[in-house]
Amino acid sequence: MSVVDEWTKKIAEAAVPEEIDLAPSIAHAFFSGGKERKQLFQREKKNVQGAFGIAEIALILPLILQALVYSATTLSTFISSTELNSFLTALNTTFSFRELAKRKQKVAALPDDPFLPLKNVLLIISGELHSMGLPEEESDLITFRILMKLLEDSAGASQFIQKIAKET
Amino acid sequence: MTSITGDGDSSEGSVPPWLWFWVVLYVISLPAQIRFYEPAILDLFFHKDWLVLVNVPELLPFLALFIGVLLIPFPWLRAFYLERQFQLAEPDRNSSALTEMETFLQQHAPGIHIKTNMLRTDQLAFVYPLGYRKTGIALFGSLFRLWRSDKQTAEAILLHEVAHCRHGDALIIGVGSFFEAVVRNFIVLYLLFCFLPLSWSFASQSIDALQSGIPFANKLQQIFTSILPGSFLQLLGLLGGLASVFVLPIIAIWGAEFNADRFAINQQKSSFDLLHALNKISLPRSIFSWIIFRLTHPPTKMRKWAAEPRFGKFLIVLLLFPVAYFAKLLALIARALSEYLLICSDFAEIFVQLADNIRTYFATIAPIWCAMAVFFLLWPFMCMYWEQYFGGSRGTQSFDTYATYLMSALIVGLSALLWIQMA
Repeated sequence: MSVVDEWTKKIAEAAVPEEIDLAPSIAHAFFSGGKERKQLFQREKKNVQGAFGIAEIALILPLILQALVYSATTLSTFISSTELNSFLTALNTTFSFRELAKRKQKVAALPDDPFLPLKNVLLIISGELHSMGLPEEESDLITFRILMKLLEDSAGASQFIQKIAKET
Repeated sequence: MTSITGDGDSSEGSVPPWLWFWVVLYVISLPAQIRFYEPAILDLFFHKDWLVLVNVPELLPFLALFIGVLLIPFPWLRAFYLERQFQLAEPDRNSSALTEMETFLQQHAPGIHIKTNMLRTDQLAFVYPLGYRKTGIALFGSLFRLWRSDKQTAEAILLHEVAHCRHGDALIIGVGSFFEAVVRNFIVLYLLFCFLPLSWSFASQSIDALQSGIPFANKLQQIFTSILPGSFLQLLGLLGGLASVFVLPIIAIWGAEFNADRFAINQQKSSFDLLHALNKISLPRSIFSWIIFRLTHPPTKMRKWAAEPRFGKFLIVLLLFPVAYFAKLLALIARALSEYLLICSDFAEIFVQLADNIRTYFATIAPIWCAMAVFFLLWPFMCMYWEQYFGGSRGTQSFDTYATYLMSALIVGLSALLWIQMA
């Protein structure tokens, strides 16, 4: 299994477990680029006889991969930091709050030194997800789960982010 | 919308396969239809005058239906088209959701063949023919997501598809494949083949008239008193013709959809999950897309309404196809009226002609309604063997709802006898 396949699956497991079965196909299509990647973001609605009906269900995993591509530089800075343990503690503390406003306050209250890479990466990934149509609350929680997964295996995550950086 | 849990008062029973019934009638009536359209077709190919192009919009609905029926004996063509169109591939065997879905499907429709497109989300699932008695099912990414997040709802969707397979719909539901193309382009075709040639002809006549000294004002007046109202009536007549050709197969397709929903409810012993699944269907963004969606499925609100297992609702669903003959009559009246008004201004004469035509219509459909009444009476005995033939496994026979079939047979049969008497 390639790095991108492995990490797409890990991220799906952590952030959108209901899309775990789709992870290999989504990873393949996304990292193949071109038409195949385009298909992931198409909103074409076709009528078919014998179908249940035209669905209103969107996949989140392609949006996550897209958000990671957009924030690849910030992610590289984040994952290569020497303060990963502090980041992990800060994330756990922040996301122990249920309310989005409180979490935002908590993040804003973190000092820039050494937390600036964490603050930036939280802001950029959740901002990208929100701009692609996900609710703010959901974007924030997904970002938290992605970062926690990346921090579990920072060496592997670093390789994955390098691959992602090539997509920018 | 409230969901009904438990057996309900008429939760068993299925809608007769009206689409099959309609296909048989269509094939029987084909020689008469060909005779009816023959002059227009011959004109189109052998007449030198390019004004015969006005026949094209009138012929298209007939041709769309004719080709749709003609393709039924070649199910692999539909399979090839759909697999290409939706980029369907053999499924990823590593997916545990797929294994679970496959086990579930094999319990209800043994031998059904699965293909997938994990990346597409505008569809959930659909069935298509792979052979005369072999059915394929296409499963999409959105259904896999749903299977993980809300399994019961995903099962309701799969059961709906299984019902299409067991009811024999998969083989013939493609008859309506060309409806959308015709409806989508009908106004453009009308402008191109009717309005434009007629306008061109009028313009060239006007130039000749002006050159011979007829005042311009006379020609201008003719546009508003004759050309524009005439064009409007012509369009109305063509739309009536289009509706009269498509309405029966569309309502027969709706019948198959209602039946599939009903099967899911019967299997799950509750309408809760089906109603939840219906909430996943996207709403049309415009009136036009609403019309396009209706070519393949009944309105979602109507499906939710019919999902409640009540005697009266089941009766209405059963009678939907016979009632479609009245919708066809209305379309034919619109068409006939537009034609009469183009050539005759005596309203009394028009109404006499219309009344005569309506009587002939009822006399013509009376034997069909008699056949429908017999079909209503026989269907509860036949359905088990019908499902076994197409679905591979025999369902349970239940006569709990026989009263509803009996009532439908009486309504349809007595009406037919009345029309025969009147004729």
